[in-house]
Amino acid sequence: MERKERRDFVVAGRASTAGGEFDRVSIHGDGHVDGDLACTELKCHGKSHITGNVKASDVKVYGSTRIDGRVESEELQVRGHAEVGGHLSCRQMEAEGVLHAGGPVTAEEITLKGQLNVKEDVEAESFSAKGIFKIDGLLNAGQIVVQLYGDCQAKEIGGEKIEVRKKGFSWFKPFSHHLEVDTIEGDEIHLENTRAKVVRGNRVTIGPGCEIGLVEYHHHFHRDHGAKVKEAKKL
Amino acid sequence: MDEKLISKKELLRLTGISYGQLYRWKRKNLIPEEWFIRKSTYTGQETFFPKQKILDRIDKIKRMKDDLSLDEIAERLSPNLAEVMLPVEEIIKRNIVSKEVWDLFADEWNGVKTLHFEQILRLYVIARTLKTGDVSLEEAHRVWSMLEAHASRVREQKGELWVIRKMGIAISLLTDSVQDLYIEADAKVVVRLSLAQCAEELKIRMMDGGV
Repeated sequence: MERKERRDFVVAGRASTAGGEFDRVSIHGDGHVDGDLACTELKCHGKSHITGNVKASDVKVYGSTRIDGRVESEELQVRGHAEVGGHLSCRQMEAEGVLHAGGPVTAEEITLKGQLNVKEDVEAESFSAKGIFKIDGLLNAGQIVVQLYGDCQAKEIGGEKIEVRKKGFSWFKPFSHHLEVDTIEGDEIHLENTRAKVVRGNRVTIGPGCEIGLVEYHHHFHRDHGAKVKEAKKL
Repeated sequence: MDEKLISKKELLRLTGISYGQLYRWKRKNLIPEEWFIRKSTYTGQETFFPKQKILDRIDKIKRMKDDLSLDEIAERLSPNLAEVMLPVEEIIKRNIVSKEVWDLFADEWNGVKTLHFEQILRLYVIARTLKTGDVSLEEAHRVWSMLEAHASRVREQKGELWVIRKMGIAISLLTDSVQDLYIEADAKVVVRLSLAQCAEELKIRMMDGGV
């Protein structure tokens, strides 16, 4: 977004506004925006609530922020706690804190180091997670790399390359964290510690800690001895 | 609607595309979300598609993808025609709506010379209604008034237009979303058109005209 002649909006302490267009918006303390917000940069420290939609180039949430509407931004960084009610779309998204999305999430790159909860679908070119996620819809990405730092959940996962690995190696707790999903479909799939009803793909590797109902594969299938697979079919 | 469906598995087998490609195309909006129909089967949830539509679409994508990027294909498949305005002569010249139909309704438009997409769609729906041959001119005018009164619905391209006739009297309905509609025995459904489908047809016609 080009920088126009626009004012900054700074809240230190407690303030509310009706929204509008700004250059930089910085909320420290307790800020309330009753309406839509368009700005170059939105930084939320402390506590804030925006009832409308947000359009920005850069959004950073350090405190606790609730946005009831849509969020459209080039970059989004959540270090604290953020809640978005509507569609969340951005190019680059980094969630190190907690991010709740009530609508669908679309991004080019999603890096998750904290917790992500999404009520609808997630679409990205690359999705890499070292945290916890719960996606009620479909996780659809070109590259999906998940390291299980906690229990993760999705209704469906689909994409080109899908890789789920347990965190590190432990003799004592080999079955610690799991990914729970109905269906996984992709070209190249490598799974560990995953519970799924159906896994379909061209090249499928089912690693240790997995419990899979049905595997359907085209070219290649490998099963670790530590994995449970009820049925495997070559298509 | 009794459209023929095809399962995802069957689709991939028939077209030779991979899961990855299908998901990538879905991400790039080359395949409309509504075409992904989830149904429970004995193995759990499965995804089905309207057979003819998806096969045509995949064929199209495959043919375009050597020369164009996915984003460009997406642009071609669903250009933002909602913003388009066309002069009436163009609409007739490109045979989007025939001159006969336009002449029948020209009075209704109060000398308007250029039409928005929504208005063209309205005209196209009327043309389709008349084409069935089961609707009189007077009835078509009434359908027109109804569509005009609910122009915002037409703009959203949601729902269906129904014309039902009983004992020579026709009633037109614009429904939001229809699963099933039960009608008394001696009434007849004369017209049933999905606005979304009409819009899609119209877009194709407009694009072939080189918009």
